[in-house]
Amino acid sequence: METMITIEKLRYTYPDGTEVLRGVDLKIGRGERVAVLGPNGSGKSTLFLCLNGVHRATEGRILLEGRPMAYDKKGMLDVRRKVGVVFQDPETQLFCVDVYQEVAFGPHNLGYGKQQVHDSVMKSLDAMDVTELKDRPPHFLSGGQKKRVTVASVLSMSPQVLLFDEPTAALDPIHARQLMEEIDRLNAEGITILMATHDVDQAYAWADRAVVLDSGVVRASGTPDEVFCDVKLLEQTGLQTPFVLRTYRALLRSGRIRGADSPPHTAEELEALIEEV
Amino acid sequence: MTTVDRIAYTSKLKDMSPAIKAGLAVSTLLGVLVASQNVFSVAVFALMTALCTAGSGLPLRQYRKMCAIPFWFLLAGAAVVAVGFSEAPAGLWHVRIFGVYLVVTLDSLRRALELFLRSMAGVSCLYFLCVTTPVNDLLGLLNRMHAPKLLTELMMMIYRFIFLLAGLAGQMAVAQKARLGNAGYRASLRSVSMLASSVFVCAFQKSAAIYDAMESRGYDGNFDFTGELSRSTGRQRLIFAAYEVLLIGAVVAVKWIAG
Repeated sequence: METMITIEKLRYTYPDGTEVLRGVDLKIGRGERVAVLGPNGSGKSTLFLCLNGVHRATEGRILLEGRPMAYDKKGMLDVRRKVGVVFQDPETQLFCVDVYQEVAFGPHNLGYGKQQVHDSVMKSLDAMDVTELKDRPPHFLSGGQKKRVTVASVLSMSPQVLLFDEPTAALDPIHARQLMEEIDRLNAEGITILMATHDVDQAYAWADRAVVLDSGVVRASGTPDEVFCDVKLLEQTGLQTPFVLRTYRALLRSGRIRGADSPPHTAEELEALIEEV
Repeated sequence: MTTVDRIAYTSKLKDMSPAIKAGLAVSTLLGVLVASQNVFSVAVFALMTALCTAGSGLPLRQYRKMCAIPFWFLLAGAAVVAVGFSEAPAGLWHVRIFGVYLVVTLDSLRRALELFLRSMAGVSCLYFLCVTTPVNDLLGLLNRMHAPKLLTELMMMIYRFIFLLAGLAGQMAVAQKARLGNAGYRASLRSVSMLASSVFVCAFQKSAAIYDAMESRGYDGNFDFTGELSRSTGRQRLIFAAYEVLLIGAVVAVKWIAG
């Protein structure tokens, strides 16, 4: 797989002296879906802001498509076009008077012409299914709508990598599922997705790769099977075994089902295994 | 809470060209100032009331509530104009205070009334614009008229922050009430002061977070408005032109009659 992002010995210290990232090493392939797990304060959000160039690495470096990130004006525009961040709280992201302006903000900053701005806005509004909200101010939107608008506002810059900071945290199950479907569709179009999450079940079912961040370093990076079967790692980092995996093991131990080639990742796969018997 | 903002978004005239609406409001306002005649002011107030309620769909009750604010404010202002100082007792009514007389004369009453009616008429013109035109249309219009960027950008940010902070303060107030923060006068006072200081701190934190989010989308200090403004139809332009002619005619007629 072609490498999209390479992070080398990345350290970041906030101006007040708190060192949040203490040497992060990570490689992310193009089109991968990566779940970034870790307790509050482990550096997930900071890492995302570094990947987008909002925070400048104190030490170490980040390479995008093999080229080191340049922190000059042109370099930053390029980084921000390629890597989009969807913030956890939509309120911090939405600041314009209406949805159209909000989604047009990024393309404008990229220096698109009027028609190009319009086209990219309409396309991403359509992709997130929020076209009919385009004249509304943000404070007239529901939580779910706000979230979709924030995604659209990043999508309009046609990024190659999208960073989601706990995208489903404040959504009800229906909206959360819808959003995950949208994210999967974007991924199917070739966009690399990184998602910070506390939901081990979601990470286990969804991700190609799980990265565990703890106290500013990468504690583990591997397929969900590798990461979630590492009992010692889970114990040390306070992560729980995903529900599906745990149930599967219990059923296996008690001899109620036959073992599969690889453990089930979703409730549906587990159901199928049970019904087989 | 019904905000003027929500009223504008649900207005029947929302999709009318903002240029026409602003032109109508501003030209009428100018007419009121130039004419300076009570009949004219009352007529304009009546017209704008009709446009806001029947035209835009605002319930009369709500319009009356909106008018109550400037009404009392202007009444107080006009009262000051109605009362003058004099060294000798004069006029319709007078009272002696600290060696001078406070007097109300027929002339000063007339001036106060004129000022009051003119101001109410002016307010009604701006109300028409407020209840029919959402802020983004207004900003778009200002931008198209090449208003200074600094002004429009500030307007936009302030507008957004009003709702952000009002929402935040509302949530905090509820959270305080849930823990009996309003039980008694002292507790209420304490709660309000805590609320004010934490909203202040939150405003700074929020603005820093918003700045990060803007930067992450390539913000470099320049903001462009792109929103499309509704265009006026030929019929609207015709009606607008006819209205302007009538307005100018009325102003001239009123001035002429008044001598």
